[in-house]
Amino acid sequence: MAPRLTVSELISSLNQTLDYTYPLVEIEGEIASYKINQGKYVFFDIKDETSTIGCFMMLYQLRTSIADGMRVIITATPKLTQWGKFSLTVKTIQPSGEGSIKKSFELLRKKLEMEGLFADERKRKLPYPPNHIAVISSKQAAGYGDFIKIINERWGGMRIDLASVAVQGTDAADQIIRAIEYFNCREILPEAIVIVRGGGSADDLSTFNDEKLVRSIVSSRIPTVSGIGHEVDITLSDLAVDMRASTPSNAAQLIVPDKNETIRRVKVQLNNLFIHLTKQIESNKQQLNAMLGEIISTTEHKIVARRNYIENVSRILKELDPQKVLDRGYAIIRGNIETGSRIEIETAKYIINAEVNSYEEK
Amino acid sequence: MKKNEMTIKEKIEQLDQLVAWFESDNFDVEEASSRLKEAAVLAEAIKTQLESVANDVQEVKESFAARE
Repeated sequence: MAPRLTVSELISSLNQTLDYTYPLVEIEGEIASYKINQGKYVFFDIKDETSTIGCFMMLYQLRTSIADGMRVIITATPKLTQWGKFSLTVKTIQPSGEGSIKKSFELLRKKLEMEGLFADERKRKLPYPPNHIAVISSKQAAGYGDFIKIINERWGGMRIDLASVAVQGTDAADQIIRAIEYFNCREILPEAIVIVRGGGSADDLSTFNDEKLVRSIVSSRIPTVSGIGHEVDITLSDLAVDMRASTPSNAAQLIVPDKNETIRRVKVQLNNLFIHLTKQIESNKQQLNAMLGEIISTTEHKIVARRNYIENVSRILKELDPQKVLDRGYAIIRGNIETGSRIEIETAKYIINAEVNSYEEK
Repeated sequence: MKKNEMTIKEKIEQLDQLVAWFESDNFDVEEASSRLKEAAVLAEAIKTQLESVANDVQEVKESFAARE
């Protein structure tokens, strides 16, 4: 005999069966009738050539941009609602196939760009070279191996904290976000966070196009660097970081200088100091010699001038000598010029005593 | 901070300062000799340190996988 149930009992029983049989399913299909209600509820249909199922999810769980016609893979829980409508409660959604991945990338890029998250003005300068960095990568990944190899070849004495995380798969974005938050909460902050992942398919790298991850990178108080994939791969995380490197190896090259180049530069600097000092000493010597020459020349001039002066003075003195005057025929008369008085006349050769007979005014 | 406690970066910065002093108006021949010796010691220390010191890589113990 068939069991008699209330409507609610039947729905509850069917949900139990669904929950037991399909606790979580992964479905690939195309999106249709996509809409967001009240700014928090997301509704869309997932369909293939013949069938359609309604889907529901919370907006905060939507980590990528979607649009009608996009092919996606969702993880969801099937459920029968109390109105008897069958729907899927979606946990995760990711674009599938090259076309959808590209479309999702472009939609989200435009949205985040409009918010100014990729603006050049937001980019911070990194300390160069840093003493302490954090690396978020997978310890086993080739990309991490390349990064560490180049870092160790180029520079030394740096502290590197590694947060080993999944760099692909559904949990990867959340693990990277938790690692960013972890480093941002440290008492001693690293000077830069480097997110490293080697090359992979567009699907593998889609982790780095996760909206929540991009926002986490932008809000990091520690400057960020990305070295993700190959030269041609550009993810939204690359656009959000403070410094983008084209590959993990390139990230290592950008973060630290080459020690051999530094040693060469230091040697050149030291050599330049020797040259500078030698030149300076030579210049000082030349200055000193010039000064000495000037002193000698000035002294010589003064001596000549003094000698000329003395010669002039002695010549004048000679000219003034009374004997010289007498030699030229003049005489010196001593005594009072009065009639009858006696006078003495001195010539160059004689002293003559004479008497004044008369005199008159000239 | 003593010289041997300085990081490579700090030593390079100090060397750069010495070079700048040589090129500045404060240059003084009497002082230059001792500064040159100081620069030579720094340069040698930078070279030795760069050639010998390795990076210290430490893995964070915390797991970043989702907690159930």
